[in-house]
Amino acid sequence: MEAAEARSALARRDAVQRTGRRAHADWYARYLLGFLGYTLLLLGAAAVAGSEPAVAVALNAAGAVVGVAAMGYAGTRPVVTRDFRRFHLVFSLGWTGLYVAAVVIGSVWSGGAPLLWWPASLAVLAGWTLGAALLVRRAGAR
Amino acid sequence: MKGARHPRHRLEPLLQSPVRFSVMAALASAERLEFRFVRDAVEINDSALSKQSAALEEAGLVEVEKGYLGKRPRTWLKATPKGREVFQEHCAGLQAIARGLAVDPPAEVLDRPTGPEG
Repeated sequence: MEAAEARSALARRDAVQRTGRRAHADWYARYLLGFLGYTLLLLGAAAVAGSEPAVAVALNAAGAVVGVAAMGYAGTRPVVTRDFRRFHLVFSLGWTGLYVAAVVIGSVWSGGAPLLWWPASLAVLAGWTLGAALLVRRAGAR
Repeated sequence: MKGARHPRHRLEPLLQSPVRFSVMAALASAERLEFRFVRDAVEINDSALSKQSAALEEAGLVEVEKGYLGKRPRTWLKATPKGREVFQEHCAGLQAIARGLAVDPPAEVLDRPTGPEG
């Protein structure tokens, strides 16, 4: 094999791998957009409901279910990039931890003060959104 | 002497075929890929991919999983740990050859990017 053939083979490898990375990064990007839409919906609901904790908890719980289901669905896509299952696990566990922390902060540490529920819930959403953004970036860069 | 081997010795004969090499390239960057995606990415037909993936499976480089997504049958292809290792070694050999090296360089030389794509 000559140098030119080797370079051509390496270029072919890069092209094929780029196609796969792009397909999966597209999925992550759609997922992030969907989640940002959900965040906007939550903010809208917050404005309408004032500071009712039950609404925050219900929306967050629904968001968690939808988010985890979306990630599970991503696992059935034609392209599943390397380490995706680990990302999914870390992401889901991280979100659950943050959500539980928000509930604890909202219901116990603040003595159930409703005003602290929203900031805590939104901190959770911000963390999740940031995580999704990092996944998109990483998927696109690999 | 280990360092005096020509890099062509690192090439895997099975991956000298452009189609098999492309299939492994696609699989090496992913956890698993659907058969149809690989077929389209490598630009071959179903029967050619079936044949090549069977050859790679027989050599222990690829795993073929069949299952259902809902009621639809799906086939997934996945590189085995051995397959990833062999592909990486093959690419290291290609990089050495592309750089015109007459002998195997130390690993740190091959780790350096060759261009904008790395």
